[in-house]
Amino acid sequence: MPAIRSSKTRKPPPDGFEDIEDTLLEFSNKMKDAENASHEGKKKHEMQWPIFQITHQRSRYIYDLYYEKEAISRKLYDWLLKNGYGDANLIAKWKKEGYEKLCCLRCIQTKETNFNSTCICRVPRKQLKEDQEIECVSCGCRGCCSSD
Amino acid sequence: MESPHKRLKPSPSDGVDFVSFSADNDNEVTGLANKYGFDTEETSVQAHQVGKTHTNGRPHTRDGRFDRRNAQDRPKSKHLLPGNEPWILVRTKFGRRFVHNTQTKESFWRIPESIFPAVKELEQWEEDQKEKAQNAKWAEEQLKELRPPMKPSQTEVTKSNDVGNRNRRRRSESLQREDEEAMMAELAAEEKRAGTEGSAQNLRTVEPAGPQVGDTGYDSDGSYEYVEVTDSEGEEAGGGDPATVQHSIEADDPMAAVEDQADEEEEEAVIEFGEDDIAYQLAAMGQDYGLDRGEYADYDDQQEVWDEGAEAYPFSEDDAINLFRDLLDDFQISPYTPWDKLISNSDPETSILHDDRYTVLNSMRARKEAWDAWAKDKAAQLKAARAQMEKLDPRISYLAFLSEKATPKLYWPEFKRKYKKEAELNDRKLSDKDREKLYRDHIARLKLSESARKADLITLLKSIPLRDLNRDVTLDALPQQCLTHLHFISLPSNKRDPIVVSHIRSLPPAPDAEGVLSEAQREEEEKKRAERRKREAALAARERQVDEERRRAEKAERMAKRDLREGERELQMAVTSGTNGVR
Ligand SMILES: [Zn+2]
Ligand SMILES: [Zn+2]
Repeated sequence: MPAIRSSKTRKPPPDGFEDIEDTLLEFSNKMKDAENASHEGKKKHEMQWPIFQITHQRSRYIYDLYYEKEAISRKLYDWLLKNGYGDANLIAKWKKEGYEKLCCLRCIQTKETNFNSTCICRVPRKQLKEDQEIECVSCGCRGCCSSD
Repeated sequence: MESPHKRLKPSPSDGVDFVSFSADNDNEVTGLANKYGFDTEETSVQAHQVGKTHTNGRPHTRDGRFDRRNAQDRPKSKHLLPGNEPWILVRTKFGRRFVHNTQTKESFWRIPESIFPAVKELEQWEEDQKEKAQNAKWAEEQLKELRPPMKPSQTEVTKSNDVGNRNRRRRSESLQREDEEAMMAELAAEEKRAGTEGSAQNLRTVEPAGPQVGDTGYDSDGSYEYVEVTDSEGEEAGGGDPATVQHSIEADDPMAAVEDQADEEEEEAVIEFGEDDIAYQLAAMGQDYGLDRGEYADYDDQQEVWDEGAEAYPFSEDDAINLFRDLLDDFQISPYTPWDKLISNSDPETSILHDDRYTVLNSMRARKEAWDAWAKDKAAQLKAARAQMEKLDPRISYLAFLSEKATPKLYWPEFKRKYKKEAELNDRKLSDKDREKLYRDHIARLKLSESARKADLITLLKSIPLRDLNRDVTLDALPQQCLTHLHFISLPSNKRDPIVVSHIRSLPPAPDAEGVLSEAQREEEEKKRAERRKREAALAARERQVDEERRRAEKAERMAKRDLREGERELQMAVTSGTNGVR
């Protein structure tokens, strides 16, 4: 979870932060809500899905602003990652071929899943049975293969 | 926070607090979730595939049979019926309508009781929209009268016409034709069914009019002939009269073609309709599930236009994109907004969804692409503007400082040391290097003759546009162009001020909004405005045309119905008397 401006990171953020501050705050609020959401009637692993998903979205937002729209400076981009607004490891994966849409890092860890392979959501849709609904256990992903 | 736009989702997912998490169909193309798989991407995937089939095109095997000239009626638009999901309402060119069940592949001219309220509701809503559009048009016209009209050059218009046409043709050829074919097959099958159930007259009642009928009004003589040729022997009956022959051929040809094919076509047609046409349409609509009802209704309107063969629309894809960009500009959208947020905003004040220009791009994918490009450009623009501001601002105070303190007697290092505590020498926004350069240049200029410095100052003052420097400007509110320029401080203020004041006095007062820009800027702005007006005129024209088409279709339907009723009566009488005669 990103440490949002703790006492250690008092140094003012680089220029351009004010442009995205509101959006980042919204993400933070959503994250807080997700963390404090009621557990009632939900499976334990499902509780974590929104957290993974918000992490993904926030990282994608930053990634998109820096790489696709060139709308923020390198300095700000680095600062955002350093301060936990984006998941640097996840973004690093997106830059690799075949991982452009990767949902979360858990889904490419082979050990945690049952079959000692990557998550079902990484399987290309073509290789699945037609109409097969998937929803991975770790983050609720419904398929994040690049070719999909 | 389920937004109201989401109400069309087949199964809205609860318990998620961020719009794009829900497993709806627009995730594929929305910003944050863009490349993420939290979504049953099937619909979107299908949309791709179907879309591809359409654009790449299967061999057009049935082109001849369903030639435009022969096809009397054809589908114009499809509408979802919220709350009655498998059912859609299909409108035909002649204003008829039928409902189609996308699951069972059934179609009915007669609308079943259960979905009738939904159809009524849709029509009521469309009525309201029309009224709104008319009000807007009126307001626009009022505004136009207030503004001086802009004369677009003739060649420009022609050119954009061509582009529009090409564009339209490309689209209609790849997409619409197959749509039409499939739909015609469905119509044929439908009519065949109706025909086997009912009498020959019944069959005819669903085929109301000849191709050009709607325009010129109905020729009652022709319609008599038309009714008389209800069966295949009819051609003989009308044989003597050339006008009748022509008419009967026109009227009969498509039906003959349709009927000939109907048997073998029927089954295939239904499947065809379901798989290609409806699926394609629904997939396209499905992409827009995140939007309210106006969304696909407008979308359909656009389809109608492409369908219509309206060669005259000067409306290109670039126009559509630029209209969308105008919209983003007008609403002063921040380029840092996440796409999801932008399109889930339904606030009537700030939402872009209710603007006509939102729907000129017909798919969410197209909008997303236009958004991405716009946001990138806009962010770059902002960055440049800020960079300029940052460069300008610190220089103003620094130059003012130099104007007072700088002297040829001090070299830069000495000057720097002497005033190192001053804020002007510690402003982080200006680098030391810049400060040094400005100092050296300034000192160098101080060594020029006074008349030269005077001349430079006057040149500088004259270069400033009237908007920024005019009779209404005071000495303590001089424009940036002055304050950041070395030439401005080359004379000491006691010599400079009288020159500036006298120059200001010689100037006209502040121009009104129109005259505010410099010549080059004005031309640029004018060009942009002209282009924009052209786009907006094209949009208005298109909407008007759609409206006219609809009215014409309604009129044609009314006429056709009336004439058919009369014709039926005539025929009934003829049949009765004929039977009597044989006996
Ligand atoms: Zn995944
Ligand atoms: Zn995952």
